[in-house]
Amino acid sequence: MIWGVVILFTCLVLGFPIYLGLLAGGLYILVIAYHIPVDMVVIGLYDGVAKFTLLAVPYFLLAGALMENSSISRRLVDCTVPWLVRVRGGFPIAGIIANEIFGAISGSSAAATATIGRVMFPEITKTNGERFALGLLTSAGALAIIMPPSINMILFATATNVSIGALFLAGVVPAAILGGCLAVYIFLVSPRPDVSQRFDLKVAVHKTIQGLSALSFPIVILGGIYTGIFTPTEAGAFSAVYAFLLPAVLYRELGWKQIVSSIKDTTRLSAQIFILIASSTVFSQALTVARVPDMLVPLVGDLGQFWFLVILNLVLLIVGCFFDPTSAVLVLAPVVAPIANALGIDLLHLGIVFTINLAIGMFTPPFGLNLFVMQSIFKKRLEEIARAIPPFFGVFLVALVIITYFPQLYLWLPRIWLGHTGQ
Amino acid sequence: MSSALKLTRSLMRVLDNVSGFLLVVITVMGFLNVVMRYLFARPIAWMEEMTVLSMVWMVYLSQGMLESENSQLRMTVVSRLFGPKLQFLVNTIRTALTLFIFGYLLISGCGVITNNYNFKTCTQALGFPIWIAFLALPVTFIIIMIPRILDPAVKYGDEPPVVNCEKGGS
Amino acid sequence: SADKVIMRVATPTTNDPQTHEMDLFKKVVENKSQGRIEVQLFPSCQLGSNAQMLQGLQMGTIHGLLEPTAFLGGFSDILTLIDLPYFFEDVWTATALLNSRAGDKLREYLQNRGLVAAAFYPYGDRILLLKFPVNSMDDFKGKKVRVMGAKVLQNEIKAWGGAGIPMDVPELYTALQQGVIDGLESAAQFFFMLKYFQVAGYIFTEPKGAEVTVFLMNKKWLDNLPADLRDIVTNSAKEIVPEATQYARNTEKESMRKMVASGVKVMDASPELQQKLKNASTLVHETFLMENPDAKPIYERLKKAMEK
Ligand code: NA
Ligand code: NA
Repeated sequence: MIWGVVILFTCLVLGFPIYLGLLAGGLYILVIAYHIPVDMVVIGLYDGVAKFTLLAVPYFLLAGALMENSSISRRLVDCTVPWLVRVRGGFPIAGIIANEIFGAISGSSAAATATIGRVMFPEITKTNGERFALGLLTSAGALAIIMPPSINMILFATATNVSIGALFLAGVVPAAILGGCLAVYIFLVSPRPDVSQRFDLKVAVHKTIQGLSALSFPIVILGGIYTGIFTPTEAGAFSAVYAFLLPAVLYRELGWKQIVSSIKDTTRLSAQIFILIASSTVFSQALTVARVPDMLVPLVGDLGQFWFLVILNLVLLIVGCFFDPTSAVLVLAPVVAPIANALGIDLLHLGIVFTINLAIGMFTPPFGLNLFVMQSIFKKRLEEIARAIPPFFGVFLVALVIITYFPQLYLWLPRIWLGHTGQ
Repeated sequence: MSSALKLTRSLMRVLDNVSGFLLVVITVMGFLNVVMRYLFARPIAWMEEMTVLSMVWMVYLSQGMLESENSQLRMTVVSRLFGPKLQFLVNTIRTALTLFIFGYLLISGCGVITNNYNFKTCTQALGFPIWIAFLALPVTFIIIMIPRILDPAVKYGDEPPVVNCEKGGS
Repeated sequence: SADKVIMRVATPTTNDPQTHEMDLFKKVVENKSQGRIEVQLFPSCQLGSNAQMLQGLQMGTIHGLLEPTAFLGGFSDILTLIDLPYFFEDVWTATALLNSRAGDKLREYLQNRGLVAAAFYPYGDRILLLKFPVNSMDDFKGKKVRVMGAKVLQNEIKAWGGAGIPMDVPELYTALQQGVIDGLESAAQFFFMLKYFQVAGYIFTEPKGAEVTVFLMNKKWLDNLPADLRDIVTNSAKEIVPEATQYARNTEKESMRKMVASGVKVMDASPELQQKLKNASTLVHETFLMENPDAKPIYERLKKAMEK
C-alpha cells in the first residue's frame, strides 16, 4: 500500500498530470498489492463520473464562463460603489461586496478574480495604492468558492455522500464572516474618503435599479434551490440558461464568438476536472480496499476534535500552496471523512473547513489560479503579487480559526432550513 | 511539429467540438427536465439518464486535446527547475507510463465491454445498453495514447500555464 | 497464513438490516472456517455505486453483494419480479418462498449469468411515506413519489395516477422537505433511520410489497474454492436467515412505534381502495411479463407455491 502512495507522490513531484499519478498509484495498490482484477479500475473510471449530481459541475462552469464574457461584474460594482463613497475604505469594501454577489452566481474563483479585478483594480489603486489593490483582489476572488454555488462543495458532497443543498446553505455565513473580517481590516487601514466625493441617493438608487437584472441572478438560483423549485443540479442547468439569456437577450452583448469561447472553456475545464474525479475514484477505492481509513481512525481518534482540526487545517493549507482545490478535495475528502465521522464532526462542518482552506490555496504562492489570473491580466511579476498577499492571508487565517472552531455560527442555517441533523 | 502530430491535433479539436455540442445538449436537456416537471408534473427519467450518458462522453472526448496540449492539471513547482536533459528523461518516463497504463486498461476495458454485451446489461430507465456507454472508455484510452506515441518527449505540448488559467479553475 | 482466502462483501447501505446481515455472515464464516476465510466488509458504497458494485461482482472484483432486488433492474430485470406490487403478500412470505425450492428457477436463471443467489433476506414491508393523506386513488394524481430504481415500481406509481421517480439517497431529505417529491416508497426502518418521517406526516400501508435483499455471490470465485470452504460460505449465508429475519421484524416494529409516537399518522386502505389499487396494478404485472418473457416460468412457479 505504502508503495502506491510513493508512486503517487513521485508522479506529482515529477510534474506528471495529477490524474496519471492517481491512476498509477491506484493500479499498483489494487492490482499488484491486492490482486484485484484490473476491471475494477475500468468500471471505476466510468462509474466515478456517471453521476447525476456531477452534472452541476459543467452547468455552473458554463454559467461562469458566459458571465465572464458579459458585463455582469461591471453592473454589480456599479450598484455597490455609489452607496459607499462616504465610507472609509468604501471602494475596496464595495469590491468585497461585489465579489460576494458574484460568488453567489458563479462557482469560479478565477472568474471572480478576473472580472471583478479588471473592473476595480484602477479605482482601488487610486485610493489605497497598487500593492493593496493587488493583494485584496487576488484574495477576495476566493470568496466565490465559499459563497454557494461552489464546484468544490459539489465535489466534496459527492465524494462524501452529503446533500449538496445543505452544504451550499452552510457556506453562506462563512462567506459573510470572511467578507466581514476583510471589511473590518480595510476600514482600519484605509485613508479617510476624499471630501470631494458626495453621496448621491439618486445616483445610488438609479445605479442599483440598473443592476437589478444582475442582482436577480443569485436570488433566482439560490432562492430556487431553497424553496424547493429545483435541486442543485437542476439549478445549475437553469443557471447556465439564465447566464446565456441575460447577456444575450437583455444586454445584447453576447455574440457568437463569445458563446463559442464560453463553451470551449467549459468543455476544457470539465475535462480537466472529470479525469481527476475518475482517477481519484480509483485511488480512493484502492485506499478503501487497503483499509487505510480503518487504520487511520484509531491513530487519529485519540487526538480529539481540537487537535484533529489543527492538523487538518495545517495539512490543507500546505496542500493548498501546491495543488488546485479540485484535486485536493477529491483525493483527501474520502480519506478524511470517515475520521471526522468517528470524531463526531459534522460532515458539513468538515466540508466548510475544506472549502475555506482550499479557497485560501487559490492565492497562496507558488501555485494558485488567482495569482496566475492577476499575473496575466495586469502583467505583474508573481513576486510582486506574492508580496501583497500576507496581510490578507492573515485576515483569512483569523476568519478560518473562527469558522473552524465555532461551527454553530453557520450550521444552524441548514439545520433550521433543511432539518439537517448531522452525520 | 510533424504533420502527423498536426493531423492528430486537428482530430482532437474535432472531438473537442463534439464535446462542446454535447455540452449544449446536456444543458438544454437539463433545463427541459425542470420545465417538464412543472408543466406536466412528470419528470422524464430517461432524459436524466441520457443527460448523464452524454456528460460522460463529453468529458472523455476532450481528453485527447488535453493530452496533446499537455494542459491537464499538474504540479510544476519542482519540475520547472529541471534542466532540459532531465526534463527530456522525465517526459520519456511519463510517456512510457501513460502507454503502459492505458494499453493495459484498453485490453481490460474490452473485456468489460464484452461482458456487458454478453449479459445484455442496460440502464434502468432507458434500457440503454451499458456496453455502448462504456465504449467511451476505450475511445478515451486510445486518444490519450496517440499524442504520446507521436510526441513521446512532450516537446510540443507545453503551453504557458497562464493561457489555460486565465479562464481557469474552480 | 498465505493460503488464507479473502472474501470481499459489499453493500450500499449503512447501519441497517443489510449491514447487520453482513456482520452476522462474517462472524459465522470466520468462525466455521477457523480463520481460513477472512471476510472483508465494505458497507456504505465504499466500493462504488450500485451499478459499479454489480459490475464488480460480475467481474469478480468483489465476491459477495447484498443488494435490494429493486436496484437490480437493467442488470437483471427478472429479479425485480419480487418487487411487483401485490405479488407477494408481504416480505416475510416472500423471503420464505424464495429461500425454498420455489425459488430454484430464479436461482438457476442467475447461475446462467455467473451469479449465485446464496440467500434472500427480508428488508421490510414496502410501504409509502407521504406528505399527503390518501382516501381514494385520486389522491395520487400528479404526485411524485420516489421509488427504488426498478421499473416495476415506477410503473406501479404511474398505474395509480402519480409519477414514480428514482432519486439518489443523499438528496432525498431535502427533496422531500421542499416538495420536489411528495413521498417515498420503502420500508419503515428506512423512513425512521434517515429521519424522513420528520418532514412527511403520513404512512400509507400499501402495497405492503416485498423489499427483499438478495445476497449474490460470484459463481466463478465460489467454484474455485475448495469444496469445504465453498460449503461454509453458501451455508452460512442461509444459516443466518432466521436471525436476520428476526432482526428485520424487530426494527420494523420499533421504527413504526417510534414514528407513530412522534405524530406520524398511519393510514390503512379500506378494502375497496385496496381492491382498486390491486386492479390498477395488474397492468404492471402484464407489462413486466411482456417485457421479460423469460420471467414467465419463474413467475408461475412462485405463484403456484403461494397458492398452496
Ligand atoms: Na460561488
Ligand atoms: Na496555492
